[in-house]
Amino acid sequence: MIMSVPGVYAQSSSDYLETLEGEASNLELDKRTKSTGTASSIAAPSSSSFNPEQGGAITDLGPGLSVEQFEQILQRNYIGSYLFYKRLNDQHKQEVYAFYQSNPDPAKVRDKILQVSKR
Amino acid sequence: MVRQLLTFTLVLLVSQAQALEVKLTSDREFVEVIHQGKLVKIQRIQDQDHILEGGFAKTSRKCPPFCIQSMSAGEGVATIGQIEMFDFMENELLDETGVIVDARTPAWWQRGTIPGSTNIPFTIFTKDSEDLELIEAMEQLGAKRRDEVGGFTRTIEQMGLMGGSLKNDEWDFTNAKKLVLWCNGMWCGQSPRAIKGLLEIGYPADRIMYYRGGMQAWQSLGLTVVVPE
Repeated sequence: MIMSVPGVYAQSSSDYLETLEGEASNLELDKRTKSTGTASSIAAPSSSSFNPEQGGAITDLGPGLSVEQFEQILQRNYIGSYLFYKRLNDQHKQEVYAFYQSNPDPAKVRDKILQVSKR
Repeated sequence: MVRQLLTFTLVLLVSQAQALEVKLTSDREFVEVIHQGKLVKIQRIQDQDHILEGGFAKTSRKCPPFCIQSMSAGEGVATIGQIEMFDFMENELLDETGVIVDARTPAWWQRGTIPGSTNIPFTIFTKDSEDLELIEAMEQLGAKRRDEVGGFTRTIEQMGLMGGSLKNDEWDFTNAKKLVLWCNGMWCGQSPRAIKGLLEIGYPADRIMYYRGGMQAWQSLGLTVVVPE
């Protein structure tokens, strides 16, 4: 008699992720297939018209950005958060910007946007 | 005349000397893609005695969860091989109408990926439609989260008017890009899960492709990989 095992493996998502992480931690790729680093650097295509006024390119939220720069970085790097931010009224936008000025941590700023947008 | 002939012969000899013995296909030696702002040449290992080393030389992993996957990842989703992948890289990826998605968790991505890929872990596609990470990921793929849609508008859309066939209550897929999703290969469930999530969200099946061979097939052919910076 042939018995088949039904595909009802009830592994939870966290167990699955844990197994995946365990397998990945030991992984080595064939060294001969790795790119040798001869790739030439070229300008990355950018859909943003953002131009920092001075200094090097601003690529992420850091302290001291103007409102305009803050919004541009948000739009470029955190579009989901930006979509919520865009819908806020001016008073709530100012609240988010004030929060950013004292907490320029992207994760905290994004949480703040979500929190304000739920009011 | 003799001098020109000699020059021509020399050029021919040099070009023959530089030609790869292990090509991608009979008429294609390599493919170039942009990966994280750098041009990367994808070709095969030229050592014809080389035997695969590393994690992808392994034949067996515990199943479940590392079970052999079906050829199809979803109704209407095309399953593709390497040549279709190269074509995609040279066309849709280059003109930015397509995205190659490495659907594995970041721990896998960091070990090495197929050049030109963007890492969007499958877990993102199972999130709630209000989730910022999902909205950002979908935006990268050209889909937009919709503001509240009026009942009348939706009724019209459901009749197939106003581009309604590419919209649902939550998402607008009008400008959704063509996608190739992949993970570790025939024994990997990460990209099939991502595809299932995308289909549940409403992403058009005819804009999704499944590269089932994944990293396993890529490594077996000795194709170039990159380690993300």
